[in-house]
Parts: sequence; structure tokens; C-alpha cells
Amino acid sequence: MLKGALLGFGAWKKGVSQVQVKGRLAPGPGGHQPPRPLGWKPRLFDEHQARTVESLTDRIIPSSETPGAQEAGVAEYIDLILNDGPPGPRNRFLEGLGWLDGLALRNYRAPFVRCAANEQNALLRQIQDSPFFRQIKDLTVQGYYTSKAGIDELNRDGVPDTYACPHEKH
Amino acid sequence: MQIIARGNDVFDAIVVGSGCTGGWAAKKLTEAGMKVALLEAGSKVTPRDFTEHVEPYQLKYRGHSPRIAERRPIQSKVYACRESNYHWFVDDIENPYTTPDDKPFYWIRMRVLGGRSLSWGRQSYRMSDLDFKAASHDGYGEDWPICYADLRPYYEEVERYVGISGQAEGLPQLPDSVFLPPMEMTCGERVLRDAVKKKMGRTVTIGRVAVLTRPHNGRAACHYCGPCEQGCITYSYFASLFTTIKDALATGRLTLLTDAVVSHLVVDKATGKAAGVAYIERKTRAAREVRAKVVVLCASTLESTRILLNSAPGGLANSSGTLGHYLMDHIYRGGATGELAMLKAHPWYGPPRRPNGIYIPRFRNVDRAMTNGFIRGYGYQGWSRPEFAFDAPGFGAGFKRAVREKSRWVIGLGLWAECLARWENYVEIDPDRMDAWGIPVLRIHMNWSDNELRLYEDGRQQAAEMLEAAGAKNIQLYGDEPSVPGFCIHEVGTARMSADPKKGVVNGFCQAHDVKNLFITDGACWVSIACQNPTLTMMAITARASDYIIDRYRKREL
Ligand SMILES: Cc1cc2nc3c(=O)[nH]c(=O)nc-3n(C[C@H](O)[C@H](O)[C@H](O)COP(=O)(O)OP(=O)(O)OC[C@H]3O[C@@H](n4cnc5c(N)ncnc54)[C@H](O)[C@@H]3O)c2cc1C
Ligand code: SF4
Repeated sequence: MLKGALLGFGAWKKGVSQVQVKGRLAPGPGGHQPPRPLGWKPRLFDEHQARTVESLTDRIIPSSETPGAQEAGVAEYIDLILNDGPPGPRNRFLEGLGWLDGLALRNYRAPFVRCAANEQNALLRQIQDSPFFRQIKDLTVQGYYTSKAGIDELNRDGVPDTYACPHEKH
Repeated sequence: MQIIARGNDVFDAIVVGSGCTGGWAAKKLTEAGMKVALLEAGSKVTPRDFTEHVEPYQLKYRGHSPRIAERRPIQSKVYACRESNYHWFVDDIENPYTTPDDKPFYWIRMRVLGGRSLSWGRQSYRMSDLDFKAASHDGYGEDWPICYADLRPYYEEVERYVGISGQAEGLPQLPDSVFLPPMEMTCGERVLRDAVKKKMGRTVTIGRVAVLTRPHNGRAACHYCGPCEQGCITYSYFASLFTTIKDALATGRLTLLTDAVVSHLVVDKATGKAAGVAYIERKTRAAREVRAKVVVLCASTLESTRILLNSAPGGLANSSGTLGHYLMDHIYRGGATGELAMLKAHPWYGPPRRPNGIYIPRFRNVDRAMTNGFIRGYGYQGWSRPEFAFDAPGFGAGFKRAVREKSRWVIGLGLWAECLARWENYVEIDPDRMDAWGIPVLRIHMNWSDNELRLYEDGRQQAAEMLEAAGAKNIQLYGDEPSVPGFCIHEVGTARMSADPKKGVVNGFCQAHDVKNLFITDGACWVSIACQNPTLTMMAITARASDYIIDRYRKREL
């Protein structure tokens, strides 16, 4: 499935660019209200990419009893790391975003950010073995678990008094 | 022609380098009444530069800076070179060295007051006569001209001052230090210790480490915050700048010259003795000179040898022709990992973090010369602790839960093996390259011999067997490729000791055979490398050489 999707990449680039533009300008799900402000200023991403990365990271680590990746600002971190890092990973990531939107458009006639939650999850399940998923997941895990929210999530059960951890406790 | 500014003072001694060894020379000589100039290529550091308590989210890249490698492609490979302290490590572009294409070498250097003591791993082990007299044990190479009994009082002096925490085990091949209380083992480590003792008769002990487990010599006990590589505002681990150098400054007899990059020694043509050193001011690039009656090189193994090679055609103090030869480092980065499924894991992030692991002393070739075609041996550093399952598959709420719920108790052992002293592993001056200060750089030639590779492979297999004995599951060998030479940061040799002036550069007191007021007390003087971490022994050797210098200087014999 992945291979077929990759082959479709070029077709999407040529054929569907109007849809992309339309999708970007179109109002968010729920209709008429203007999209909520991004709240941070991307260095690398355009606004559409930034919102796509926000929703992607939040699908990977959603809020539960503790905040998820979007609230933890992981997209902003990814934007910074890729912008200031070497070109290889940066370009692969940007291409991957486009590729994912192509899949989303083909499957659901909307770019990834405009897809419903269950559609986004289905898309991620579909690409789980792809290099792009590896990359976005690694970056999300790195960004989330180094954030204050992520560390609080890890330490939800408390932190011991000693690293030694006596046997009796197990 | 360079215009050299010469200071008027003539010091009793110059010490080049302020790291683990230079700090000891400066302390001992000044406390004995000598007027000392300490020249350090790096800049001053104060506790305000320490970042061990900074959380990842307080750093721009949260500890994953993609920028460090731009100017530090070699240094950034080291775990200790981090977003908040990378500027302590040399700029590789300004400080190049060369190697043949097929012999990569990673040379890890810190140019800062305190040198690598600021970010070292603090593991501290004595050597024994199995090491100092290794050639007599198995017939390979040369014995040291000194023995354990010569060094023992200096080990004690250094340990009493530094503070080494550890557990006495009474092993002849790994003599006990004067210990502060040991740190505790984790339960996984205790499982390993008990099983390996019972089933294989081998000792697993807590790491011996230059970290205080109780207040000591005016410094506070460690509070287990963890990232010692970034500094320590409570001075709880050993670094020269807040111990030996502080003491030397307190005598009022130390002149500390930072940002002073020594290029070569100045030799008195009439006497053949060292008259002082020439250096470049790092920031202004002005060429200067300082004069002294004794010169002690503590610039670290390869920097000291580079200074000697740049001091005279063919190298200063090189009538033996051995200067630059017999470079060694430990081969490492291999071992085994596994999981201890019988222990329930409750990992956490952050402190308390024990800045130490466990240690398995050498067991190969202790009572015999050779095993399975190899001589010498290896020791292990290891760890066992609960870990989060960041590698859990999938995404979403299930993944987030799995990171915590699928956490497991992991265990690992990594070997550090001895490397034989071989003539073919050597450094020379590269005639075509200079550093940013116009000083000719080293060309380094080093690779592993079959003996190292056999030790390495045996060590990996034995690691897996010990984990198996401990009941570990999912045991995996790691390190199919061993470390690149140099990367263990235990480089020693290249100006070795010898009783016979034809076989080495310095005598058993680190005094150059050819230049009697010149001393090389850092790792350059090593004859063989053993398998223990070397720095405790480097400091003991420097302390011993310092006593000799003080004695001969008083007797006007230098
Ligand atoms: C990350 C890391 C972990 C380590 N872990 C351990 C461990 O656990 N156990 C262990 O035993 N060892 C360990 N080491 C090795 C240990 O740090 C060194 O063996 C030790 O610091 C060597 O002491 P030294 O005085 O010879 O050199 P250094 O401590 O490197 O000091 C040399 C000093 O000389 C200065 N200098 C160099 N060239 C010049 C020049 N031309 N002019 C003026 N000054 C100059 C440098 O700037 C530096 O300050 C580790 C090292 C690192 C980097
Ligand atoms: S773990 Fe201990 S020695 Fe290391 S920085 Fe923290 S207090 Fe200092």
C-alpha cells in the first residue's frame, strides 16, 4: 500500500494543487468561524504545514489525564530543530508532509488537517511503516518527553527518594 | 619573523595544562614553596557556567542541538559534549589534526580551565603489578620502570584528597583505594552481582568514582542530580579547578595564565636545558615567552607530545627515537544488554540519578598468561535500571500509555579492554597543516591489533553469559564494530618511561632522559595501558614526580 501511495506522489503534485490551495484557505471543520490563531511563529513551516504538524503530533501523543503534544508545543520544537538542522532531514520531512496531504486528498478529499479524527488515525495507520512516520514519531517523542508537560506525564507516579530501589518494594 | 614578548620573571617552574595532572603539579609545587606559572590554553570557568540543574526545556534545542556538529564534528560525538557545555570542548575547525584515510582517530579535547576534569566520567581504579609488570607476566612489550609499591603512597595521597567512593573487594589485580562510603546498587545490579558470584565466581562491585558520598575536605556530598558533565556547583565530584588549582592559587605563589596556547619549549643552547616555553595568546594572537628553571608538561598525552615534537627538529628529548610511538587507548563500545523480567519497573525521569554504574574487574589472564589466543584482559562498566518504553510501537493514547506501562528493567555490560603498546601506532607532525594559531598539528596513525579485537569479542560473549547467569531475557550483543581509536578518551603513551634511555623518553620520575629539567607527567609517559580507567594513576604519577622535582630542585640538581 505504501509503495502505491509513493508512486502517487507525483500525480498529486501536478493534479491536485488547486485543491491544496482551496483546502488551505477553507474554514476549519465546524464551518464558518475563522481558524484559531497559531499562537507561535514558525521559522520553517508555512501556516498550513504548521497546523498539519500540530495535528500530527497530537495524534501521536494526544492529551489524556495530561496534556498532549499540541498543548506541549511540540510542533514549534520540530519547526526549530528542522530549521536549524542539516538539510537532509529537513527536506525529507517537508516532502513527507506533502506526500501525506496527497494521501489524505486522495482518500478523503481534504488535506490531513481538515480530515476528521478517525480519518487522520486511519491515515497514520496506513503509513505506520514509512520513513516519514518514523521521522515524525521520533521528533514528537523527543519534543514531548523533553517538555515540562512530558516530564510531568512520565513522573505521574512520583519520583523515589533513592535510585537504589530496595527489593522489598517490588 | 615573530616578535616575541618576554616576561621579566623567571619562575621556579612552569606547568603546561590545568587538567587532572596539571592541577596536581601546580598544587604540589606551590605548596612546597615554588613559584609556578600555570599556562592553560583555555579560558576561565566559574560556577556560573555550570548547568547541571538546567532542565531540557530550558535549553533552546532541549539537549538535541543540531548546531554543535557544525564546528565540532568530532567532539560532538561524545555524550558529554552537550548543548549547554559544548564550548568547553575544542573547536575542531580551529584545532585540526590529520590521519591516514584508513585509520580514523577521534581525539577528544577540552580547552578550558580544568581541562577534561570538568566533564570526565570520574571512574577511578588503581592499577597493580599485573599491569606495571605486564611484560614479565606474559612476555609482550616492556615493564614499567616503576612498580605498584612505588605508586601506592601516591595513590593514597591522591585518594585522600580527591575522595573516591567505592567498596573494598580485596582483589590483587584491582587494589582497593582509600574509600569513602560506596554508592548503593540498584536491585537489578544486586541480582547480577549475586548470580555472577555464585555461578561464575566473578566479582561485580559498585563503580569506584571520584564523587563524594559524604562531605570531604570542605566540599559537599553529592546530591545525585546526575549530569556531572555540565559542572557541579557543590564541587562534589573531582575537577581540578575547584580543588588542586584553588589550593595552588591560595598559596599566593601561582601565576595563572589562561588563554595561553603553548607552541614549543625554549631550549638554552649552551646547556641543552629547557629555558621556558613559547606561547600564543589565544585572543590577541600575540607571541610570548615565559622562563623557568623547570618545565612540567601536563597538556594531556598527545598535546604534550605535540609540544615536544614542535620544539626541535625530530622532536625534543628524543635521542631514543621513541617519541610519538606506542600510542594506546582502550577498545570499547561493545557488550551485551538484556531485560530482568522478574523485577517490576517503575521508572522515573530526573533525579535521583546516581552518577555512577557498576564495575566488573578483570578476570582474564590474571593467573595465567594467555586465554583463547589473547593476552591481557578487560573490565566492564555496567548498569541496571528501570526504563520507559519510548520505543513502543504505534501512536495515540495506546502509545502514550505504553511508554509507562511497558517499561522494563534493563541491564547492560560494556567492556573496556587493554590495548598493546605497538611501535606502529604513532603520531608525527603533519608538515602541511597548522591550527588557528599557526602551530603545526599532529598526524595520528592508530589501529587495533588482533589482540585487541580478540579481547573485544571475548568480552562481548562473556557479557552475554553473565547476563544469562543473572536470568536476563532478550539478551542482545551490541557493538558489532568496536570504538574508533581515541574515542575511549584514554589515550596514553608516545613519550614513555624507561629505565634504559634508549627505550623511552622519560625515567620513572617522568624526567626526560635528555633534558633533566623537563618533566612529562601526563598520560604520555605510560608504558602499557592496563584495562582500568587511567586518570587516578595519572594523578598519582604526577604527585610522585612532583615530590621528586621538589626534592631535586631544593638540592639544585635540576
Ligand atoms: C567525557 C569524558 C569521560 C571520561 N571519563 C573518564 C573516567 O571515567 N575515568 C578516567 O580515568 N578518565 C576519564 N576520562 C579521561 C580523563 O578526562 C583524562 O584522562 C584526564 O583528564 C587527563 O588529564 P590531563 O591532565 O592529562 O589532561 P586534561 O585533563 O585534558 O588537561 C589538559 C589541559 O591542558 C591544556 N592544554 C592542551 N594543550 C595546551 C597547550 N598547547 N598550551 C596550553 N595548555 C594546553 C588543555 O586546555 C587542558 O586544560 C574521560 C574524559 C572525557 C572527556
Ligand atoms: S550528581 Fe553529584 S557530583 Fe554530579 S553534578 Fe550532581 S551533585 Fe555534583
